[in-house]
Amino acid sequence: MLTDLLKLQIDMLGARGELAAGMASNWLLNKATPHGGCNRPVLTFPGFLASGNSLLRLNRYLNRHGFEAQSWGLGRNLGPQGTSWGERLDSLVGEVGVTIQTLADKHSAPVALVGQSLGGVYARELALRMPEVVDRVIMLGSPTFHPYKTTDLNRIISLFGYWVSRQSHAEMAGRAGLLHWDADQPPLPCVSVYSPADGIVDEASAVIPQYIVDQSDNSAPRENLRVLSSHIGMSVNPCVLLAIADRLLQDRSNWEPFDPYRYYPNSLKWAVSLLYPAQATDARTVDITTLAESGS
Amino acid sequence: MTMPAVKLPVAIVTLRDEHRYMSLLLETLQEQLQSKKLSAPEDYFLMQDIVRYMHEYPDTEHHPTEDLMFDKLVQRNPGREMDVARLRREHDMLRRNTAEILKLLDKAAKHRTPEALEALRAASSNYIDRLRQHMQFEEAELFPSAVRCLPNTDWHEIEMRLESTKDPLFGPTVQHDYRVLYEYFVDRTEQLSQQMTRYGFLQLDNMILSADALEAGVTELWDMLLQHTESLSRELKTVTKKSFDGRSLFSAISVQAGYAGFVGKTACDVGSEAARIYFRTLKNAAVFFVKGTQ
Repeated sequence: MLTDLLKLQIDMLGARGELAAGMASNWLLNKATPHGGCNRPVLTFPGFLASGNSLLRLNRYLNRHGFEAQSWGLGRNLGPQGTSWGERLDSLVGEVGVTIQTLADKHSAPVALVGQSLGGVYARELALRMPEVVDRVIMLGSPTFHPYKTTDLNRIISLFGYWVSRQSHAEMAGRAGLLHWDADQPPLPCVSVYSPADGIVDEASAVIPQYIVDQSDNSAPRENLRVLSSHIGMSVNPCVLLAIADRLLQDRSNWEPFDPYRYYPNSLKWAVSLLYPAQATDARTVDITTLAESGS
Repeated sequence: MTMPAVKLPVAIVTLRDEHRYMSLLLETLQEQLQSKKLSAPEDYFLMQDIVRYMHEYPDTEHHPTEDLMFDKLVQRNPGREMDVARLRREHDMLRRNTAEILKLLDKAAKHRTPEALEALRAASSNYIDRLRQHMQFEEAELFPSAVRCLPNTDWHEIEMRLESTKDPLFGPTVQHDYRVLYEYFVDRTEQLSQQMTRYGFLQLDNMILSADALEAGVTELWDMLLQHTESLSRELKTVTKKSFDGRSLFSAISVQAGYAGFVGKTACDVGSEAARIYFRTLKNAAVFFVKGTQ
């Protein structure tokens, strides 16, 4: 528990550092970011206990680069608050679904959803329920809820979540859990941005399982993007912002993985592997048969 | 009796693999039944998923495939009729067992009374023991016999049946309904792999690789220093020769100032190169020490 408290403190501190770094590098970031061109609609979802203001910088950044980004419009995200996830998500379809539909009609184009943490879970589940009006989903450190796997969340946040909603994660997740999408359904791109330094959601919970990524194809791309960032500061971290803009511009029918090297000058290329640390191959490839063989 | 040392038919390999998966599931089921934490409905989710799988795949696909193989075996070797009849009866019984355990699991999860839990534990433990003995007998007695007696045409027919069935959990594509269970096992596999990595640094192989990396780094550093010393010394000889070749004092001083600049530049190059080699060597040595490979 003490470790989790320490992790939370470090994460909060890191977020402040990222905000400062973002402000200091604003000019460079704006110079490097490609332009979206035609006011593509983007709806952003704040994380647990955060309000729409937490995504102010993200929205402003996207608006400056040819997108029309706006927050979800429901104020502070307080989680399901006593209802089951299913009920909460159904009510969200009624509340935020209308906004998504209106945006899609206004622009005559599907809407991209970007969500931080729990907001990413909402974005993922909403897209599953209304894929015809969604363009793609980008999640920033968004967890999955498994009905019986050991929880990968910071215990302080889990306890707080329990206090707010009076339900354990297993209860909220229900029988089927809230997992990442299947490899082929819905046929939309899904990007999970996650961090090895995340103090709240363990990367094992945020990362799209490798077997899903392996089975996915260009009709429904699934991509993991590892960035060095805190959990709370993901929406202000300049490296994450750059990645979000790039992924929003990526052609859906010809999906290419994110290449951070193209945005950095030669003199800073050495920093890319630090800012976007690649996952070790052996850690990603899990062969379940080893478990059957080991007798564990 | 052991399996003969011949290339095994694909069907036998697949059936044996499925036995391994079933053993893993039985072991997990047993662990869960012994767990003290069976107080909330969600504590039963894992067991329900395991038994549902046993009922939906091994009972309806794996055992009928074995029945087909045993039918062929009796045709080729009538002496095995008694054993096959016994295994067929066991397949029926196992199917009834899983249906019963599923009901008991629902009841225990709903009521959570000691009686319901006791009934579940008794029925499940009988089932686990029975299925383990059943698989052991099949692998020890009937699989080797089938390998010896069945011709290729029979194996072809069995393999055709196997190809038409899709394992929803351990097959090439995980079915949506079984993703929760699959990801639970992926997580356990990752934990196992992390444990192995954690203790990997105690292995002598890793220490040898790490020492080798350190040695390579020191050699590289030494070679680099030698190379620069040689170039400094060569340059010094040239400068000395030029300084005393009868030229004017100003010209001699400017040659020596040029040499001083060369020494300064070499020192900077040596410093940066040495730092690069130092950090790379430390990183390599640490990675080899902990993981054994890069």
